[in-house]
This record gives sequence, C-alpha cells and structure tokens, in this order.
Amino acid sequence: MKYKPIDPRGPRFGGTITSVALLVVIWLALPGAASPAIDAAWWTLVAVTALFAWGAIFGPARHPYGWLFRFAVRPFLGAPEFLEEQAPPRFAQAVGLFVSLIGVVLHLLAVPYALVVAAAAAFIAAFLNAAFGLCLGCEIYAALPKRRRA
Amino acid sequence: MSEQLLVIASLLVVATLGGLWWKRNQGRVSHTEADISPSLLVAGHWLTLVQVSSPLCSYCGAMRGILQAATTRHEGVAHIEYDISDIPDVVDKFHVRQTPTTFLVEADGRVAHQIGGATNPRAIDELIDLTRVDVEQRADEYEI
Repeated sequence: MKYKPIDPRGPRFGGTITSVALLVVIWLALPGAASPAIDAAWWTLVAVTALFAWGAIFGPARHPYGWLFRFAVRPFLGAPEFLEEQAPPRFAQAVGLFVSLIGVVLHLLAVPYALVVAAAAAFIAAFLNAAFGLCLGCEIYAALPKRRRA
Repeated sequence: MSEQLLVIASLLVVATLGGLWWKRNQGRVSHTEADISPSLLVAGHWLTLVQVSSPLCSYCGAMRGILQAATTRHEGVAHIEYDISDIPDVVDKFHVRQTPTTFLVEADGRVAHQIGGATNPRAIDELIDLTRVDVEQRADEYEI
C-alpha cells in the first residue's frame, strides 16, 4: 500500500480529540484507581487503544479522525504550508497503542494506578502533538543511540 | 473532584512546559570545531547544506523544501540529504540527536553552522550570508 503525503494539521486535529478522551479516562479512573475494576474508565481507554491500533495499521489518512478532518475541518482551512509523510504520525500511533495497551492489560491484572499512569503518559504525547506539532515518538527514534533502517 | 482537577492541571502544565522547551530549541544554531568529510559534500559549490533526516520525522520534508529553495536564491550553494543511519560518524562527532539537523559546510569540510530542528527560510538566508562574509574575509587574509 502506497501512502500519500498528508496535511500535517490532520494528525494534530486527531491528537486533540485523543487528548480530550485521555483526560476523560484520567477523570473517570482517579477515584477508583487504587482498586481496579472493569468500569467506564477502562472501557474508554479500550476505545482509545482501538483507535490507536487503527491509526497504526491503516495510517492517519484512513482513520476516523482523518476522515472527520478531511470532510468537516479541512474545507474551512487554507492550503497547508507543507505536507508530511504518513510514516511519522503512523509511528506515533503505534507508540500510543503500546503505552495505552500496557495500561489496559495491567488494569485487567488489577495493578493499582496503571490505568491512570498509562493514560497520563499517552496524554502528554497526544497533547504535545496537538498543541505544538511535536511527534514525541519520532524525537525518541532520532535520539536512539543505535538505529535500524525503518 | 479536587484530586482529579489537580492531576489534570499538573499534566497540562508539565506538557505545556515540555512543548515550549522543545519549541525554543527548534532551529537552534550551534557551532562545533570539527570537519565533515568533503566526500559527503556536493562538489563544485562553496557551501553545501547537509541535511540529516530520518524516516520518522515530521519536519524533514518541510526543511527539505526550505533548503532547496535557499539553493536557488544563493549562487554556489547546494543541498544534500542523508539518512541519520547512513552517516554514523557525523552523527557521533556532532552529537546529532534530532532530525532534521542541518550543517552549513564549506567546500573544504569546515562546518560553519549547525542547526538543530526545523527553521524558517529567513534564518537560513542570514546564516548563508554570515558564512559568505566569513569566507570572504578569510580569503582576504591569505591574499597579502
């Protein structure tokens, strides 16, 4: 599958929705964080995790937030200053998937505060992307001492 | 309730400070007294803009466009792009930890400036002009 370049504001728009969803998770999870249960907080993080997986597998252009951006937001914006390859935001989705999945699984294993910590870590990455256009996972990749060809 | 607000407010503050710090460091110009092998440069140009990119890089494409446009405005300036995995010697020597990183390199391999992260066309123009003045002054010294 060939991925075409995208408007970089698309992933940032998606990151905004993800940031808010993760804040909802934290809000819901905190009161009962010491005694994990299958509650609304967990289900919300499961939904966020599934959306991360979607983005990691199909790329940001074939993601629900991508479609929403394309049809509901993009028509009201001017032309983008530059285009972005899909690989960086896709990788970011994979990092988000990894972090939130750890939270989902550890919560199932009744680890206290795992849900809140995972949601907080994912929130920081999503917020940095939405507010500053910073792809945290990509920065980490460049800073790795030993890199492999992607 | 207050616990939830406190946690969310702290997260917002930490993330915002982190983002502002990152933004401040974007386009930061530094200098290291070291050379880049002339074999990595574009021959026949007095200055080569050596861009270090990676496959996972949000602004490498934007920086490529900015640098290529600069080569059309400045005579004798060329642009070349390397993957961060392909030039480990340069990466180690100059402690490249972010992409894009751009070096303004004179024909003999002398690195005039190093730019961490993306920057704007005007900053590139200014650095090229600065380097040109510097090179010309050095040439004057040798003439006598």
